[in-house]
Amino acid sequence: MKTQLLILFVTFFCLLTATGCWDRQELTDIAIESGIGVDLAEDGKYQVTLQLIDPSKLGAGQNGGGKKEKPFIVVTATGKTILDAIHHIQPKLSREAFSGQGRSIVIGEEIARHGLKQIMDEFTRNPDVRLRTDIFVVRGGKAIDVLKSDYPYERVPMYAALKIHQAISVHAGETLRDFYMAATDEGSSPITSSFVLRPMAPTEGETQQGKTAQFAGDAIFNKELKLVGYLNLEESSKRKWIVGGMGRLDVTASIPNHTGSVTFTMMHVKRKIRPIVQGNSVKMNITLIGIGSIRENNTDLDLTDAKNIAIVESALEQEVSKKTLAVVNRVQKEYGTDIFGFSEAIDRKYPYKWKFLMKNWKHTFSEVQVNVSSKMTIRQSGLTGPPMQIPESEIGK
Amino acid sequence: MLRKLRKPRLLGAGKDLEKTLASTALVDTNETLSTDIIKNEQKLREIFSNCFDIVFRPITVHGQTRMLLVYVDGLNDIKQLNQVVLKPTMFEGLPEGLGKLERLGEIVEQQLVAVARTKTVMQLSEVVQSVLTANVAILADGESIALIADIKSWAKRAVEEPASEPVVRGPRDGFTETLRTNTSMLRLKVKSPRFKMEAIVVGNVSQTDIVIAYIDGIANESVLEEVRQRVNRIQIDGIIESGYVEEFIEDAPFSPFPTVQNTERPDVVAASLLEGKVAVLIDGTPFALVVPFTFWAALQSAEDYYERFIYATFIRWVRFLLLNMALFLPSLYVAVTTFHPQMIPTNLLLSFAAAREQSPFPAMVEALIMELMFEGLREAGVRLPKAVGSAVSIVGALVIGQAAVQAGIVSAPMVIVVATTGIASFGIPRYNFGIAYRLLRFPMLILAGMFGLFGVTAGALALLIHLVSLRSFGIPYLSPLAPQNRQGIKDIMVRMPRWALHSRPELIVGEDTTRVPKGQKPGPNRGGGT
Repeated sequence: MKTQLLILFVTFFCLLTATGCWDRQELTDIAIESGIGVDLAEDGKYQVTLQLIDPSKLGAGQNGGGKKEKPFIVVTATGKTILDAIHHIQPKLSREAFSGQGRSIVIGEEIARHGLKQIMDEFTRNPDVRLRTDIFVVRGGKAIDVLKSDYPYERVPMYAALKIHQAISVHAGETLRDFYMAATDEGSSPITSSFVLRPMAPTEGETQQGKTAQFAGDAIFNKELKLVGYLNLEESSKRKWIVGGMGRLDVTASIPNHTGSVTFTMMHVKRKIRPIVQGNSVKMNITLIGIGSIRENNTDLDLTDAKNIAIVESALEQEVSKKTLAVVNRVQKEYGTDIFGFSEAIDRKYPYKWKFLMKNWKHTFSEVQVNVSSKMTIRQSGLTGPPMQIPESEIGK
Repeated sequence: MLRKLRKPRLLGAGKDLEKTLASTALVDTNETLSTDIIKNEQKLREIFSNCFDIVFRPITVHGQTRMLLVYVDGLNDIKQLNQVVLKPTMFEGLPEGLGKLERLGEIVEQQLVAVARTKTVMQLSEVVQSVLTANVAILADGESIALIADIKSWAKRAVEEPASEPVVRGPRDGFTETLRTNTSMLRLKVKSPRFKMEAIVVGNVSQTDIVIAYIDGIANESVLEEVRQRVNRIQIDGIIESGYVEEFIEDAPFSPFPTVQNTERPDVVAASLLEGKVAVLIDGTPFALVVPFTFWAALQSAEDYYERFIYATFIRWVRFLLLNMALFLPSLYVAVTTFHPQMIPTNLLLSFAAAREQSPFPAMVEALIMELMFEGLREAGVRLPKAVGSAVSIVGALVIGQAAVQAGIVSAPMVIVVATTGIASFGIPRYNFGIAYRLLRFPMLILAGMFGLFGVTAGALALLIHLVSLRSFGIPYLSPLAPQNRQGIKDIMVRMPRWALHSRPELIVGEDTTRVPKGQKPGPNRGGGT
């Protein structure tokens, strides 16, 4: 009995250890992807570019030198599918490409206009790809150029894109997950961030060398997942306000009858969307709420005076309402894609009516009557009433 | 094959046992003392032949009565022997009116031998036994009895601070190798007639005294009975250390986890007794055994109860963290870096990857090498003479810590992981419990190296199942958490203030369950006084 047990144990131990069926992969056997780029190749194939981290160049304090070298390598190949292209990349790599730490999916403008329907499958089917990966379109450029570009601050340049998002306090609506959610929704259309490759401080005779990827607003897709247009930085912040999830926002407004502008920083940014459906006509009442403080005052107003606060507040409200309405109207007219979450708002309030509206939503969306009102509340204006440099006699009352 | 190997061994063991039995049977247990002192002396000299340390001291009282003192040299207070036995009998003589010789023993006992403990014995084997247990046997001519005087005194180690369990705040006395000193220290702490100490002699050759200590009413009767039975069952030639007894009475001999606690602190034993536990004290070792032993007791240090409870609670959480680190840190590192690099924050992974770039070994092999080296260092540090010990630590720190990393043989994060694990494993207050965790991290490491987090999870589950199924003297090892007990939980992850710990551990204690009466929380309006 004991002998049998021993034999059984030894057999099992050998089975576990000696058969080599291990999934083990040492860190020195994988090439960590920091970003993947997709471009359209000439023959209708896809050109996939990987930015791979070269850990030996990172030099974690061990061999001080080598910091000047780029800590990443860029490899590219074409294929019929994304994975096919990656399989064509693999022969060039001594280590297996590993996408589990990828933070960015870069889409070239050309292929974005061509449509993303064919390429999005790999990113969900591959268990290694994170749903929180950033996805963005290179405005007027190719993905490979962004992946090749260096970024001075970050050890790995692709992480710059992610951190730019965080730094400008824009979180919602850019990850792969949000893209899929909007794409599968009956009403909404997806958007992604867009980046543009440009030198940080443009000077004459600029070269490819100094260019870095910079955030340049949102890229709008239609239901066919084709790129239809862009929102600029300000427009995309207004869109985000309507959609919700905005953390912090600055608004600058000029004050009527007074020269100069005021910058208002909101720490509480909220919004209310009230759809009103009457038959086939849809009305959207959007109320934007912002609470914050005045951070810069270039006018001659004394902001310790409650009367002047009210003037500034109403100026801010007008500015916000006007600009926001303009964004919504432009998208309605030019693109007709619901990127504001209107469909969701209607579905929530009129679940039954939405089922009828849904069928013709693309058409209805362009005709939605949108009202934007806003409520700005200034909590603090600082202890300096009027700007310090203005003589007392010139202070507006 | 195994069976063939085993048979001759069994036979050998049998022979040994017979031999030991024969050696102890030298003295016929039924033989009584003779009235003729010469006969008695002859017999005793025969029994103690070639025993260099046995002293036979014949004296003559008043030139007529012959007496004989027999004792082991060095185990008795010679000064006292001279003063209270020899001087009165040889020079001052017996009191007048001494009639019959039969009463000699009685007279000596009552008037002359002014020592604390005396008794009379009638059998030869008892005399031998008494002499060997450091008593002086006084035989007189014409008497068929022997007087046994207890004036034990031998070279003892002084009471010192326990080396294995130091505390910042708390009593500084520790047990010594002398059973009597140890019991006296306990009696000083628990001055109650309910505090009982039952003595048993175990060991055919060594004849070691073992004391089972408990507090009547507080100790659980069934646990106590179990301890009595298990200790009485022991058949062994000799007992040198408490570990001998522990291996005979523990519940799960093949488990890495100890089911018997050992301590050299009298305050720990006294506190355990007050919880209803039973202590086993063994002569010749400063380590006392305490049962039942639970998982949570292993994470409690004596100082938890002396320091303020907020700090004690915090330090318990730290300990719990350290416990898990000691077990899982190396295996998690190996599992995550070789199987699931997705899981690590990117920048951390990059640092790992950069550091591992040069190392020639797979992560698991590297971890095993380093863990074994660490164990070697630790063992060398304990075992080596103190003068050499510092050399080892320098070599260990320099060669393994720095040179190995600089030479690119071992990666720096691995050194950090192993060092952290080492420190963590020493954060467990009970040394023997820490050993279990130190051992278990090796199988865990192999599991992690083969199956990644899946292996670690499977290992952790197996460990949990084992822990839940363990029992120490009938008490579930994980109690009072599993099975759960609300009162008991006050003293596991947190240490509630003393006045809130109303009852003793429910599963352990006997009848007297109240430890602290309610309503003693300090405050301005506590009633009573004014």
